[in-house]
Amino acid sequence: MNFAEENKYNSEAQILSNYLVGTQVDKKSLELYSGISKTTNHSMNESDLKIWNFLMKHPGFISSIDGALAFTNPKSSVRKKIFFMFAILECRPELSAKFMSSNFTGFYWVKFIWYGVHAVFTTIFGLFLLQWIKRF
Amino acid sequence: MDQTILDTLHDVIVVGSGCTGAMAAQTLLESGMKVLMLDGGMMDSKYKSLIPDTSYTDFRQKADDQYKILIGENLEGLNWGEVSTGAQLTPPRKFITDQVEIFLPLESNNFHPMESLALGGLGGAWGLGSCIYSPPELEKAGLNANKMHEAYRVVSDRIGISASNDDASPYTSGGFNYFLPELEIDSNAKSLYDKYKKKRNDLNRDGFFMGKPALALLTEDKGERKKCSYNDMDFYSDKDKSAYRPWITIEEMKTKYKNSFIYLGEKLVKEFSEENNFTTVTCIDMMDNSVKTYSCIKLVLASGVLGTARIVMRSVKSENVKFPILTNPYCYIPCIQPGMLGKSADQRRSDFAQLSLFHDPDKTNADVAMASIYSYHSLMLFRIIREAPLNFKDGRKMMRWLLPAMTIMGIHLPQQASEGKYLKMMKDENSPTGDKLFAEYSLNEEEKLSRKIREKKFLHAMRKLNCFAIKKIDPGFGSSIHYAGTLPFNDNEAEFTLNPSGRLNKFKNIFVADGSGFKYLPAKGLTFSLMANAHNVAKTVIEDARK
Ligand SMILES: Cc1cc2nc3c(=O)[nH]c(=O)nc-3n(C[C@H](O)[C@H](O)[C@H](O)COP(=O)(O)OP(=O)(O)OC[C@H]3O[C@@H](n4cnc5c(N)ncnc54)[C@H](O)[C@@H]3O)c2cc1C
Repeated sequence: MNFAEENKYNSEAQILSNYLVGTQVDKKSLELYSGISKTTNHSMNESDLKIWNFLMKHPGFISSIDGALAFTNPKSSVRKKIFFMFAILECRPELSAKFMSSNFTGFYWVKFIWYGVHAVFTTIFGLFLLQWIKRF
Repeated sequence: MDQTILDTLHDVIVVGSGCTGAMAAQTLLESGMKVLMLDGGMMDSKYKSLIPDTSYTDFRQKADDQYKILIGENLEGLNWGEVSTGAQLTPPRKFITDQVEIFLPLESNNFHPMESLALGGLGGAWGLGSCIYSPPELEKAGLNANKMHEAYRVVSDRIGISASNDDASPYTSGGFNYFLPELEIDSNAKSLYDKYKKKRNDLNRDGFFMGKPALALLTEDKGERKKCSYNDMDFYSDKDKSAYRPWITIEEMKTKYKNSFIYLGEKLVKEFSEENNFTTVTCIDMMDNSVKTYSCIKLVLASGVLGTARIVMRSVKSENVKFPILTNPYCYIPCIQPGMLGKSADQRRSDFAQLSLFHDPDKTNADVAMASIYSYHSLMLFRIIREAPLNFKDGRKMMRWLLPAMTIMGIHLPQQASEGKYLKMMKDENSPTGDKLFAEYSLNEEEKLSRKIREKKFLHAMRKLNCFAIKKIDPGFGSSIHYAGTLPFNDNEAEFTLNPSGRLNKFKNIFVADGSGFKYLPAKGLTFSLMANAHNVAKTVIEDARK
């Protein structure tokens, strides 16, 4: 892998880690992500590549686009990359608490509703954004 | 007889080391016969040593290289495509399908089975669900009820099956009392079961009966095998050998019968030819593709229903002959029990089915459908989150809360032969054997309708238990991993059938010990019955040899 490619994967992994768990990515996750990206990058079609490049420049919109794709094109290769990073992070022992169920407080359902509402609104916004990205 | 053949003439050759091959070989060896076992022999060389002897939670919190086991060293556990047959296999279990694509090619648009060339066969990953078939089911399958009941007891003694005494007993243990004490279930299942007990009369009136499953999982130590430790690692490891796996029997036989048992792995049996008083078996060595032949007096095929069909088709040169095939229609339905939302999930549990729900509309135990109910805990979030219509970030936070309330119901329906379900052999120059299997599997309109109605009834029953379906996942025909019926039992010496004791009709010394003869496939897990039948077939071989 050349230096530029490695840099690119490192920054992708960092962005996805921030999005998924809100933390800095560790060395092992970087390594695994680079390994898997080598094969998956090639299979992106033009439209997915456009979306992907947009998200890497504007990471704040990932949840909107991710949610919108979950509805319109759940098997898109953009989601596939996020999925791979999700699985990699889930296997990090230091992040296990973020993925496993635990003793939730009685008020977790308030948070749950908030996450649900948040997911719905970001998805609706994402549906418009997706149209816009595809047009340019 | 040629001297070289005499020199290597074995009493019996058993093909396959799966649940049926292991049981048949054990019976033969116990009677004093000499057995050569020819087998695919694939083994897990990567993962066994990596899995720590610890609980799932501990493993997830501490093991730095857990990714190797959870998603695979080469990330082979990350499947992004449609949910298909074998979606439940974790990387340490995937070895059971090693080399299958190369050596057992199959073409089909609508039938996607799982086959194995492993030591222990599919039994290396089976879910341990062990049900006794009822007398009407045995009759429809073409099995002798008296002989089967004796054999069930023998197999249960050998492998260890735990069962409980509850409403499901007529469908699981058949009400017999030779089983081990019942297993513990987790809090998610307990909550569902408590609701069942309250609504029992109503559900029973609709033909639904719930109870704990009978599982080939030890609740008491048995020799070197330890009782279940409830460490929640069963999808990944067999460290304490509490779960029955056929390789355990093979390993035991290798030491116990040093002088009368030979096991040869990496031998793909291609065909057989029967002479007057001996049979020649031709194999391909899977390491170097060289051809080898072995001879025996009696041949027992236990290579799995599809594997045996291949060998018989080649040996009888049956081009264009269609063999019938049966598989249970199967679907998964993830459900949520709102009462369990946000509760902490049990750390002490087993990964196997927690409950069984049977649908027996006319209460005769003759036409029963079955759902196995699992709690979703030690399979990772990434396996299920991709099915949710949510962004991954919010999805993760929501799913953590949902997980303790999530049950996965796997519904199996019974099946009988009909025109649209068959196998045939095709030429294929790229395959090491020069051929491949072609399969067609479609239901007629009546079967489709009946399937739809029955699946709906299960959803209705679950709603009564305040457990709500989120989505139906249909991985397609073959995904139940239950196969039968290619050489149906027949009393009349018809070609491509078995006589009721398992001998291949038109042959003197060729026997089939797997499920090829079953004419009907009940929805209940078939493997306990396969093993009992294999024991009976071996007994026939012994009697025949003594004559
Ligand atoms: C994930 C999973 C869960 C399951 N859960 C359950 C359950 O809960 N209850 C239940 O009843 N059943 C269950 N099953 C099904 C069960 O595993 C099978 O019914 C059973 O293992 C079949 O045993 P068998 O000996 O007939 O065939 P197989 O297990 O297929 O064994 C075939 C053997 O033959 C060998 N072989 C094949 N072809 C050749 C050849 N040409 N030459 C040499 N050797 C050959 C293979 O190496 C293998 O050892 C499950 C299966 C899986 C995979």
